[in-house]
Amino acid sequence: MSTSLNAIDALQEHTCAAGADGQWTFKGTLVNSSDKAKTYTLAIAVTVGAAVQGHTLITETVQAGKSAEVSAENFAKTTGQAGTCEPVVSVEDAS
Amino acid sequence: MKKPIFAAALLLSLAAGSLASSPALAVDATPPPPAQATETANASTAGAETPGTATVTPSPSATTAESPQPAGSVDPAQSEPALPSVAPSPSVTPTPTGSPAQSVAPSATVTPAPSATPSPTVPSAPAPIVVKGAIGVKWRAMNGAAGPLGAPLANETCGAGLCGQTFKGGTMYSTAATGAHPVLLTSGHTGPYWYANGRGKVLGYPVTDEVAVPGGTVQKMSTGRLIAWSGQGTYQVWLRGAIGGHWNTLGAVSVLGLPVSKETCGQRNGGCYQKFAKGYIYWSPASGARAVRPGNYAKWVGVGGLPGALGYPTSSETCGQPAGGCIQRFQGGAIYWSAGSGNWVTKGGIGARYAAAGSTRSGLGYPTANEKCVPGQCIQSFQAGYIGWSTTGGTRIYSMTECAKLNNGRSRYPTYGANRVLLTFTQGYGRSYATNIYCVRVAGLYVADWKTDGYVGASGFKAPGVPSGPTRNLYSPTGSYSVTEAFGLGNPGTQLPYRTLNPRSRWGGNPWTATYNKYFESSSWVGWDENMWYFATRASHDYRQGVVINYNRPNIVQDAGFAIFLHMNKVPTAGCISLDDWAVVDYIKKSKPGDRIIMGTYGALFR
Repeated sequence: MSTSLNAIDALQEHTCAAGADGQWTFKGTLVNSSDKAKTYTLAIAVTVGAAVQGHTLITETVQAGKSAEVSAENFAKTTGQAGTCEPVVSVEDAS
Repeated sequence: MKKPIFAAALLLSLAAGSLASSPALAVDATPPPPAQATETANASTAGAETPGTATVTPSPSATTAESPQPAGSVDPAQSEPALPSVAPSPSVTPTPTGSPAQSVAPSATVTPAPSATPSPTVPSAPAPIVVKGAIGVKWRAMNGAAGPLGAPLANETCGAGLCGQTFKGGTMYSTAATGAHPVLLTSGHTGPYWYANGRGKVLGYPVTDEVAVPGGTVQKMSTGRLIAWSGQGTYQVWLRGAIGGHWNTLGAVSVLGLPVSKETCGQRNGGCYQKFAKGYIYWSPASGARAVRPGNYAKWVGVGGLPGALGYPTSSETCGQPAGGCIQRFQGGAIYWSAGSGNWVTKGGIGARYAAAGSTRSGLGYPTANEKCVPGQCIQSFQAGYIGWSTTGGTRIYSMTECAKLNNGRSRYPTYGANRVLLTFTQGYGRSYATNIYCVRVAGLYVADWKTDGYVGASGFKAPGVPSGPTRNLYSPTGSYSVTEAFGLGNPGTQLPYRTLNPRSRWGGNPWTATYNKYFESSSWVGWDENMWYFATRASHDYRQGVVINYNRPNIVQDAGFAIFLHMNKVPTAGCISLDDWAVVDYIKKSKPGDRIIMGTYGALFR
């Protein structure tokens, strides 16, 4: 098993935004361009300054050469729509 | 050419006891041949108007009817009982002698009492003893026979320009160049020393009276020896010697005071020293004569003195330095003084570094202590910093920082003997911008390895004793905390236990759970737990390298606060300390278990 420190390149065309109610939604596409099945773990958090307003963890296995849509809804809530949403991606060989 | 020498020796031997009735004393003093003595005496008194005064032959073999044998030869110091009786003061009759053109002072004649064993071959009375010339003037000015010198015991004897005359209370010498000056046997302070220490043969004749100086009296002799008396005794200073000459050049009594010891030689490398009331003078062939004042002397002795590393002084104390300070150099270092710092020694590698930096004109100012050493390390404090030395790192200058408060008791929090302490403080509550000083202990003193800015919790510090609470409140705790472990994405080379993070790395933030304020691993991310992997790998890489600050650990109070770390990403935090990447890596590399972090507002940390 190998773990990449940061496989953020596997995450393509992602969005993360707050609705009018301050609820945050994340959507993105994981692309496995390798020749092996991979299990991706997305950790997404919304922060305002140093304070974490919410977070989520998405684990998705993507076959070799394939892609997968991933999303998370209402995983964080802020006052208004201000905040920083940042995902990190780690990957390991699918078992 | 030998005549003057013999004559002078004769005169000096008057007081040296050479003419005493004891044969042994006469031998010791090596009296000159009678004929020569008589000849020189005649020559030197050619202008005298009293015939008898010119024929004194102070030799045991020169007894004449006019000069009874004991009169001119008795040592007043040794043979006072045998002295001829002297008429009381009324019998001392000053009589003008000589013409003014000859400038001969009035003389007095004193008729001595008949000898106890008058010679049957001398039918007439003994010739009167005359006190004349410059000696006579001086004697009368000193109240004559009623004065401290008392009555004369013999007539004046002259030779080679030097005249001398013995009195019951001492001896008077006179030369044209120096005038007449007495050596007082009983009533003075310097005279007894002269009589007891070789008299004229050793010390020469007086060229001054005994005069009062601050702290005592002094009298200068023709040999260049100054006899000085103070309440601590009577000693001589050889003004023609290196030590005495230096004492005189410095200002003599007014600067170093009177001698309080004899000059003592046989010191290291053939040196000598003499102690004075206000200091010492040390001399050696290599260093010359140098004074050491009491303040410097105490410090010098404190580091071993002459046998120690400093060795001999090589300069006098040189003042006029910045801030009115002074410096004195020694063979192995220097002693610096200023009013604000006191006297302190610099030497060795630290001393050399201080000198190279500009010493008193450097930014360090004056030393404020001697260097302190432990095996392999030394440190010395200065007004504005420190200089450290180690066998491995050589010397290094450290600026003055709040680390000094860990040395001087001005820190409210103990270090518990930690060798490294990070001080993190803000200028008040509600502030997150922080000063961070990495204090390392060198030879027992904390000095600043580095100083940098950073941040603490965005809400600032909680007061001492108040829990920082949940990280969402963004407070940092105040206190002194140990450091026992580090973490990150790869060990940079620390001696702390190091945990390499992985995607399952978590730090418990949910109170009343088993993992609260502890590291654990999980495939989920729940509630207030911290996903350490997330914070290590997000763009700002907060936890790429970090250190656990043992706040609320190992004895954990639920909901009192958790995950207080030192980490990267220098921005206001949720309670941690954040520094530049380089500082965190350097801190981790140098840290060992037992190191501490003391954090809080400036006012909370320091007195």
